[in-house]
Amino acid sequence: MAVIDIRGLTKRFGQVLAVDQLSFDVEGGTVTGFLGPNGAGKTTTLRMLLGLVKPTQGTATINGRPYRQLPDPSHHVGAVLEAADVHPGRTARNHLRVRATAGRIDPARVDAVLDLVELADAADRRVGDFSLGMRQRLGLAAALLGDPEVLILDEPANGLDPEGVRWLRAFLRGLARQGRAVLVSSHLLAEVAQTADTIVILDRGRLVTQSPLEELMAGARQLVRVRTPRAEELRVALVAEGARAQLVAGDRLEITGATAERVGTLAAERSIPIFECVTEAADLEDVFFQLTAVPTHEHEEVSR
Amino acid sequence: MITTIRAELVKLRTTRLPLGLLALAAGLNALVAVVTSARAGSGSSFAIPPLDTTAGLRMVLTSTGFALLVAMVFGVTVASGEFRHRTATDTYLDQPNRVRVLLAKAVAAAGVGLVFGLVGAAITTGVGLAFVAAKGDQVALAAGTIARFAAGTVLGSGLLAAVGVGIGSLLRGQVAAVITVFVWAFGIEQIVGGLSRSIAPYLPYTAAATMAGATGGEGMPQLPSGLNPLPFGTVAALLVGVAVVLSTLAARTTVQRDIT
Repeated sequence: MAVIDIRGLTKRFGQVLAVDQLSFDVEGGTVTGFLGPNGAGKTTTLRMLLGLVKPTQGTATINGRPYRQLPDPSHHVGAVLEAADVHPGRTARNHLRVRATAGRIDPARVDAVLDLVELADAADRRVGDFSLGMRQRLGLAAALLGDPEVLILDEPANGLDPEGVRWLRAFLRGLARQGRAVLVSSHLLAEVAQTADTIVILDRGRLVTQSPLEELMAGARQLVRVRTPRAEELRVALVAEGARAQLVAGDRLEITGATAERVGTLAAERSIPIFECVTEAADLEDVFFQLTAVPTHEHEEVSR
Repeated sequence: MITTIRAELVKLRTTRLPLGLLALAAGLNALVAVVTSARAGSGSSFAIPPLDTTAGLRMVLTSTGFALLVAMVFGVTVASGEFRHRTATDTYLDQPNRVRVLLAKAVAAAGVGLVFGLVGAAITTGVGLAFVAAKGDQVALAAGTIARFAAGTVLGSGLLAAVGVGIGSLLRGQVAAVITVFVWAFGIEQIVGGLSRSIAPYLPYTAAATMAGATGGEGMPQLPSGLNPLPFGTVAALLVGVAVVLSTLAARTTVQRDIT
């Protein structure tokens, strides 16, 4: 059984349908990237999953129960939401002491998690003086207090420097290796591409796809670049074969819908010399944009 | 429930606001007590009776109105602070039962509210008795009476803090809720109490202040003169009732709102 199970989840804020009949699940021992452009409904979905926002319809369960019915939820689920939402006057250690007390967690865990996220040196500084990156780490520390088997993170890479992002990736992978289910949202595919096993893509409140990362990559459109003195002739031949080819310079073609092998064979059949032939690796960010692309006029309607 | 109350107490101990408010209450109380003592019997326009009279000493000892008021403001901040600093998310993640959180806040605030009353009563009593001693006067009130005023202040502060939690939960906006407390005590209770002597003793602040022995105002919300204070038990039941009504209203409405 999936650890996190979301079925037909819907949320309407007045006229705005923020989340629309969303269904997906998250397995233990995996990192699931929850992706979508800003405003796609990711945060609303996660807050419904955590019992902070009441769904208009549908269910979101963790280990078979809605969050609000979990006994001692902090022992099962750790969440990192908006990193700035910590009382600025409290020290990091005191913030964690409050969370540990409220979650019925051994106070000894406070120092353990501070070490884990490498914040031990800043433990007695006020959170108001923390950088966004430090707050993100503090959020992670709080989420890990109860040693939960499920972790839910909303845009945890926001505010992290490149080194911090790398650290976070390794950290999340490590958590999944320990058998935990990790659900992490982002508006940038590249951010989770190196971490996630499964990608869930959300756009304007709706599920676009839930698929393993490899499948997503395999389905991505590949681009073949060719340099040949008889470019126009090759272009016509390729288009006749059903591929899409575009003349980008006098002797250069960009081809999609045909592999390099197919292009080479076609050229050889017609004795067209090829000076250069390169396959460009699928660009995940392009896949993401293709899947969530909206014609310009629709975008305007949405934002109005 | 105990866990949630303990968490609320840890929250209060780890921020500066509660201590700041306590210092504010203490400072205002000290100021009022000193000014009242100094002017007692001096025949100014306020006509405070001399300190060696029952009425004069009583006026100083019961000038604890700011302890009561600031305790109520403190209660407001216990509830509305969660929204001001957006910490409600964490609070409800740890304890998804929001009504339980509200109840824990009311209990924790009431407990700390008692301290406001204790400090207020200690200051006015200390200042009053010090002035009496300095003048070489007799203490005009029996020890039992002085203790009863102090006990009324302590109980009143605790219960008003719980009422404050109800107000803060219902309004959520900290500034609006604090202003409401002052408008209520200095405005609405004055008007309603002035219009009807029979309703006045049952108004929450007036009830708490008369329980604490106050008869007038002296820079604090003015009480209609000649009110008969209600018994401790009645005031306690009344204030608990107000806190319960406000909290129930909040629990059914604002407390159930989405935390976005």
